[in-house]
Order: sequence, then structure tokens, then C-alpha cells
Amino acid sequence: MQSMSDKPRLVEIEIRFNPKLILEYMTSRNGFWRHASFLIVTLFWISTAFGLQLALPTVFPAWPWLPAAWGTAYLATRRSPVCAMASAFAIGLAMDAICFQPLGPSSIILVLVALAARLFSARIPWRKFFITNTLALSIMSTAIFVIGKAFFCRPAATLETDFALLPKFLFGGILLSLPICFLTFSVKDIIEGLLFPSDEEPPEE
Amino acid sequence: MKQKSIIAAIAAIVLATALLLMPPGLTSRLASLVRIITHPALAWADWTARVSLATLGNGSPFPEHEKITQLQYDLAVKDTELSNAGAKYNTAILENRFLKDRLRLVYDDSLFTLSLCKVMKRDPVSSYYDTIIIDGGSKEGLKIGQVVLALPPTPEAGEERETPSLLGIIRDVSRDSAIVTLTTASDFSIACHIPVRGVTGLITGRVNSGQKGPAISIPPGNLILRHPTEPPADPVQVGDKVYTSALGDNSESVENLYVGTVDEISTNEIGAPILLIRPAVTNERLNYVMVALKTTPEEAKRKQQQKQQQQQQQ
Repeated sequence: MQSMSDKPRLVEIEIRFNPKLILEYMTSRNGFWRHASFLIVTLFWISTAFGLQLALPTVFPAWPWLPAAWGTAYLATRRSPVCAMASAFAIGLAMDAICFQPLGPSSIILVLVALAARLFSARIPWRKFFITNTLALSIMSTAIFVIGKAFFCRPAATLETDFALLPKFLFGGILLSLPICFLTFSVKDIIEGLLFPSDEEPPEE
Repeated sequence: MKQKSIIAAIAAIVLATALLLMPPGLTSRLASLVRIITHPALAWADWTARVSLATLGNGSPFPEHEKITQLQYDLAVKDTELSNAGAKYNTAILENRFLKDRLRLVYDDSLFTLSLCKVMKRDPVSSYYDTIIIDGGSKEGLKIGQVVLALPPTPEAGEERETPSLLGIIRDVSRDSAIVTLTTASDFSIACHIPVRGVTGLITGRVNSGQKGPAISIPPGNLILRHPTEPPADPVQVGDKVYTSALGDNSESVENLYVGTVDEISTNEIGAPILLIRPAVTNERLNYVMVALKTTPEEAKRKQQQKQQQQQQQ
């Protein structure tokens, strides 16, 4: 066992301006442009999540909120933990702000969705088990989000009405989520594969 | 990895809870900021919604939701109508307050009632200072000979409101309009008096007197008080206030309406005094005027009784 006295107490860091390295970072294919485009794509997926939330109510009045949950689940499994939670928080914040609701409840629900998706993907990674992972994520994210909405952001006037609507929303939402999640997750993965075609994985951490 | 995820989730939940506990003002500002930032996404969502609607049509698998949406829409429409009605009501209250403020008088209002009229027409060339046409007529109870008053200017802060003063007399009345002879017209005349001196006389206008042909925009001069019955012991002084008198042959005239002040005292060829009166108001720009409708003795008595009752209640 290493004693306390053996451990180094101080860390010495030397920072030097290295023009060659900076130039390489700015001009190389896997440098700045890759990170910038990755950030832009992430922001686009975030906007897709709450944007579809607003676009779909006119088409699917019964399930207006689900794209946010699916988008959060996708980002939670494909990004770093901090990026996943920050995305979930941002999507929830935008949803609440745009729907003129108190800020916070949607963020909490989506963070829970993101956490569940990450914990599940740690056991069953999406790269190896895409179908199982996507199936589980769609069911899980829909269920958590619908139940969370019923608790936190009740759309109807009374609690009884909300819980009467819950089974319909829950099973209907899950049924709807299966084809849409498979379709959207696949499309998003293809787009990311085209945008980041290097052998390396997208920068997760 | 798991620990990192849990820690990040806890941090995000704490942050969201803090948002819930934030003061409403700060939250609304933050929400406004977020709405501005997310505007491009909203535009994108709007576009996708249009595309979806164009592709899938307007049919909804949930008719009850359609009903709710329709009810919400109807409610929003009614809410907007209610807001408009409220705004109109508030405007009417403010207008009413403004007019009440305008009509605040120092006279005994039991003797006459004031009717507010708008100036409809004024000949800009030949009779600009002679006549005006107002939008009140016999329908509103206007009669020939009734006295027309000018609105006093709005007082500045701390100043007292001036009393309405004589502007002219109604010369002709139709159903919806009336012609008013202004005090500055050459054919204007009305009986008046100076109460502090006990002097009465006939006041006349003198605009364009002695001039032939149309006079374009010539400002009128002072009024003339001819043949004053002046007691020798108490001569009229410059600055004395002149009021209308009921001694003339105009049965619709109202007594003690302010006309103006004595500006100059002179004599004619035979030594008779002539008083030049400066009108209290100029009539160059007129938008609204007030007509004094004389009340009948019965009405005056009833109004006085009402006033006494109100005073007793207070």
C-alpha cells in the first residue's frame, strides 16, 4: 500500500505556445472543424427535439411531446454524460419557455430520461445491439416521459382526468415510438456517419 | 462512466430545481431569452409542420382532441374580444374623465347646461373671424341666440382652471348643425356689464369695420363697449372684467359669462366714452366649443334642490 508521503503533492504544468500544433489543429480534418461541425450537429439535434415537439402537435395531437424524449435518448447514448445531461436540460428549458410553462419540470423529466438511457446503454451498447438498444430506449424514454408529464405537467384540469388519459398516452406513445425511433435513430446515425467518416468514433468524451 | 452520468444528472436536476425556485421576474426574463435563442428552431418547426400537414392532411385520429383544440381556439377568440372590450371601456373612462375635466365650471350650473360641440367648418377666406359652423343642431336643443363659449386652456400643474369665456352667439340652427357668429364679427352684439362698477352697455365686434372687400386672415381687434351707463363716482378702470348681461333683448342669453377685460378707454367725437375690451380667448384655432343651453325655471329649481341634497349628504 502506498503511503501518503509517497504520493506527489504538486503537479507541475508547463504551457507553451506552439504555432505548429495550433495550425495543425485548425487545418487538419480531425481538428477544429471536426469539433465545430460536431457541435453544430449536436445543436441541430437538440433543436430537432423540441422543434418537432412544436411541429407535431398539429399532426399528432395525442402525442405532442414525445420527440423531445426520443431526441434526448438519442443524444444520451451517442454523447458524453455531461453533453447528454446538458442537452436534456436545454431541450426541457426550451420546451418550457416556448410553451409558456414554469421553467424546470420538463428539464427534470428529460434528465431522468437521459440518465435511464445512459445507464441502459452502459449494459447494452448501441453499437453492438442496435435493435435491442433502440427498442428498449424508445419504450423506456416514452414511458418515463409520459409518466413524468402526467405528474409534473398535467395537461388536463384534474388529476383524475390525467390519469384516465395516462394508459392511452402510454401505450399509444410506445406503439408510435417503435417505428419512429428506429427510423430517426437510423437516419441520424447515417448522417453522423457521413459527416464524421473517419475511423475514429465521434468524440464521445 | 456510470458515476459520471449520475453526477451530471444530479447536477442538472439541481439546476432545474433551482429554476423552479427562482423569482418569477428572473424566470420570465430567462424564458424570453430562451425564446429568442430558439427562434430559428421555431421557424424550422413551423416549416416541418407545414410539410407534415401538406403530406398527411388535416385529419386527426383523435376527434375529442379536435374538439378540445376548437374549444381552446374559441376561448382564445373570446378572450381577445374581451380584452378589446376592456380596452374600449378603459378608453371611454379616460375620455369621460377628460371631458369632465374640460367641463369643470365655476358657474352656477343650475342656470344652464353646457353642450360640447365640434367645429365642423370655418371659411378660411372671407369670414374666418366672423362665423363658424358647429356639429350641434336643433336635435341637441340648440336655438338661435344661445351663447357659445370657448373651452378654457388646460391648466399647467399648480394653476387654477380658467373659466370658459364668451366666443359668440348662435345665428342660425338646422337639425344637425348651427352657425355661430363670433365676437370678432362686425355684426356681433350682446348686452354686457361690469359688475364691480355697475356699468352696462352693448358690446360689438369691430373686425373689418371700415374695410371693403374680403379681408384675408387679418387678426381682429378688441371688442367695443358703446354707450356705457357709467356712474361718475366710480369710473371704469383698465383691467376691469366684463361679463354678459341678461338685460338685452336676447331671451336665450345667459348672465355673468366672462367676456374679457377692459383694455383701453377712449371717447368719441361728442365725448361719449368708448371702452375697448380685450377678449379672454382668441378664436384663431378652434376645435371644440360649448353652447350654454338655458334651463327653464323648473329645471333650475330641481337642480338647485339636487345640489342642496348632495351638499347635505356630504
